[in-house]
Amino acid sequence: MSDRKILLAEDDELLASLLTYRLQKAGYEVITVYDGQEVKNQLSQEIPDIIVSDIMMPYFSGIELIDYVRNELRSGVPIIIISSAGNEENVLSAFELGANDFIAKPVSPSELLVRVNRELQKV
Amino acid sequence: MHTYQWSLLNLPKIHTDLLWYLTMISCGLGLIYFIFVFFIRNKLSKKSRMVAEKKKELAPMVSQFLFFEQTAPLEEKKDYLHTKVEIRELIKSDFNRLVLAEILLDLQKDVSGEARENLYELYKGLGLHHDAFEKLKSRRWEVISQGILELTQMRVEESYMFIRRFINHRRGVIRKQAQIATVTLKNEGIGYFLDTCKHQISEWQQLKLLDVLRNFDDFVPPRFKIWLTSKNKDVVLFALRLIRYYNQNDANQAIIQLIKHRNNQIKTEAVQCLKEFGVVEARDTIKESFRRSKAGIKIAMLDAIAEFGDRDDIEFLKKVERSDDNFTVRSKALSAINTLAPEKIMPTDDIKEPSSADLAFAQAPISEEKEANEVDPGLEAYDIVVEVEADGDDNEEDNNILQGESETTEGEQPEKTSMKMEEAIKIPELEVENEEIFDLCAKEEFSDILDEAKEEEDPQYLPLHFLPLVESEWEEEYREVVSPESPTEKTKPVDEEDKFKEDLNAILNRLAMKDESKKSKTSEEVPDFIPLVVESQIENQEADELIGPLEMEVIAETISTEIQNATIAAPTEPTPAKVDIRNTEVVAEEVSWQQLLAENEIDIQIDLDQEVEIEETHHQEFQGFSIFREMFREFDSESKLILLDEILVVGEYKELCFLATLSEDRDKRVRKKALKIRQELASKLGVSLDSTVTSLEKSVTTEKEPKELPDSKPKEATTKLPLEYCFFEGPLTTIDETQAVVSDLARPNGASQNEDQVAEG
Repeated sequence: MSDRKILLAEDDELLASLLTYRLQKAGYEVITVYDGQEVKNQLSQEIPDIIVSDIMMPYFSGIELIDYVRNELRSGVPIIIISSAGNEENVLSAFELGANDFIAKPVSPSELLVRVNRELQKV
Repeated sequence: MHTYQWSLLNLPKIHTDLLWYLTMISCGLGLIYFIFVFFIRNKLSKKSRMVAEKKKELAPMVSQFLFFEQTAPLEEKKDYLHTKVEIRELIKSDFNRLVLAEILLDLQKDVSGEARENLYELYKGLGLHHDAFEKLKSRRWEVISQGILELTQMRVEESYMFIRRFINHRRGVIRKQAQIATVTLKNEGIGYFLDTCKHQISEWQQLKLLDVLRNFDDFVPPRFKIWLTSKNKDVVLFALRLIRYYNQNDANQAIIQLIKHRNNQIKTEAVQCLKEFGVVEARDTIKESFRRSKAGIKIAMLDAIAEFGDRDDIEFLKKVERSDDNFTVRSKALSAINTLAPEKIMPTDDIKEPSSADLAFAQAPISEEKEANEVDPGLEAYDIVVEVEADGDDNEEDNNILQGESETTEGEQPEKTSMKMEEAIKIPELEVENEEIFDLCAKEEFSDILDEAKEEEDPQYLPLHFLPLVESEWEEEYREVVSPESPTEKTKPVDEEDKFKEDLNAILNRLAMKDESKKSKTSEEVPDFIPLVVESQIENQEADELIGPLEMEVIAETISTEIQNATIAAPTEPTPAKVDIRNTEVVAEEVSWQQLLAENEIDIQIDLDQEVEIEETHHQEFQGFSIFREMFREFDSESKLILLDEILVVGEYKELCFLATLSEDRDKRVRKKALKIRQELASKLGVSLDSTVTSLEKSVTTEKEPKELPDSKPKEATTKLPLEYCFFEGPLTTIDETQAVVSDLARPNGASQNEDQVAEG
């Protein structure tokens, strides 16, 4: 499991740090980015095993990220979306564009870990 | 020009040195200001940068604390202990504590579950809550508010006792923060808050408090009915909302009582509560409080009644619908009625009623010819009528059509048939596209029918049903009186009838002899329209049996002659009257049923035997009824004189008729002036006054009071009363011979005060 790479895109540094710590503690290699542009740069270099992304990010939203991955990169990498509660429209759009799972804020790190594990098992 | 140049040369002297000083001072102040702003900005940005760096430094440490497990490997435990010691050293710095508190506060918003609980423990474990307690002691309201917020967010239950004393703080921000903290920190906080809250609780605050309560996992709501008696109306309102939210329907009586509350919000909330709980007992209270309530509350009340009311409430709702000023309330009342009794109220606005032609079309039998040809509904209705009247072979059949309905023994069927016919002939009411063409055709057809009728020389045949029938309350009353089912008629003694008949015969015979000479003259003038004669004839056939035909003939002839003479011979065209002459004066008089009966008996006989004469009388009377008549009955002489001037200004033909009747006036001045005005009005209207109607002049010349010496009056003067006087004015002040006769006729028992006078005559 240690060879699995997770791209975590979250603009809130504290939360990103917390989740990163939790995922790293679970044995994953976590690449943390804080905006959409970094995500694109990272994806242009390497496609991770799974992407965990917040929907609301600067420069490049989570929706655009999904569209970029699915339509431009033609990648089927699992994507888990993190979104605030009540943002149903974006969540539906994300699923329509090809998101694999969704988790609402406030995030339970343990729950996120379970979902990541499940998605990675599907691959 | 010279002045302008001179003024340019003498400009005021400007102290440029002073200006320079001022400019330098301003620039200096501006520079200082910008330096100050720059300094502050740098300081703040530096601080935020330091905080961000510190957060980055502390965040992993916090994460390590949060996700530490006792089952972790030994190496991890060592790291944990090392980090713990390191943090202990860091939190000795206020800045580090501040940053650490900020980290924990931010994180608790983004994480949930076990991580959040660990955050709470870490916060208290690091002793950061002591800083928050210190903030509560601050004098600055924003610091206090920040302290309360920290303690609330980090769920420091120990702070409950310290925070709740801020519930009634004079500053709203602290007060609201404390209210939420009190409710959040402990389950019993809501009770303490409702018990002690003295200030207003805003709607937003109520929503936030309710949101806090909703998010409690193990919240056991207290019985909120105990706060319905609070002196704070906002507490009562919030308690009502909580009762409604938690479905605590054990306080119905208290809620019913709150319908009478002065506060509209409480009233509305109480009504909505009762509606939701279906408290039927509240109906009476709602009705009692309805009138004094505002429109919004009324609508809520009507909603409640519609929810749990029954058919007994429909009367109340109808009353509301009729009496309330507010459109929405009225509409709501209607919808409530329909909710309680579906389709009780049908739509009425903008509903197009079927015309009489439509009804006739729908009800008339379909002839074979019509079945073959599809025609316009309006025209079809017309064809039905024409067919009925044109297909008659002889006069008898026509009579059966027009007047013979009364011979039918099927209750109200004759009247209905007659009404159908009338409605069918009411061509102007048709609302079809070719209405104008239809009218023209109808006129031609009716003129043919009328010509045929004249050829038959039977006045009863006259097809007058197409005239608009005007029925009055008097007629309805009359029908009731004349109706054989009438209990009053049933109890009428036979001997009184006989006596009445004898008296009547004697009077009529005398009148017949007296006016025989005028009979031929009046019978020659057959009017074209006698609308009400036929109508009453059909309706009142039962009255024929009371008086013999010969007697009736005499009565009719006599009265019609008198009436004809009593009205002026104004040059008028016979116009179909739409007003029943009997309605004109009887309405104003208090006529007993017996008088009505007697009067109508006379009418009936006149209708049967002397339609032509009466029609003429009607015709004249329609022209002669003046609005001034009522005024002259009540006014004094001076007022009458003034009114006479007005008559000259606005008078028409009917005023000529009316002026002729003023010959009976007591005051000589009135009689004189009436004569003068009448002549002037006649000349103004271009009407030549007949010599036969100059009784006014005679009465003026005789200078006799009509009432005092009725017999001494000239004959023309005594016969100038209009028809309605003759028929319906029993207690006339000026009683002439004809009136006396009719007044006696109106008394079946014959006990007339004028009987002696008539007998002498």
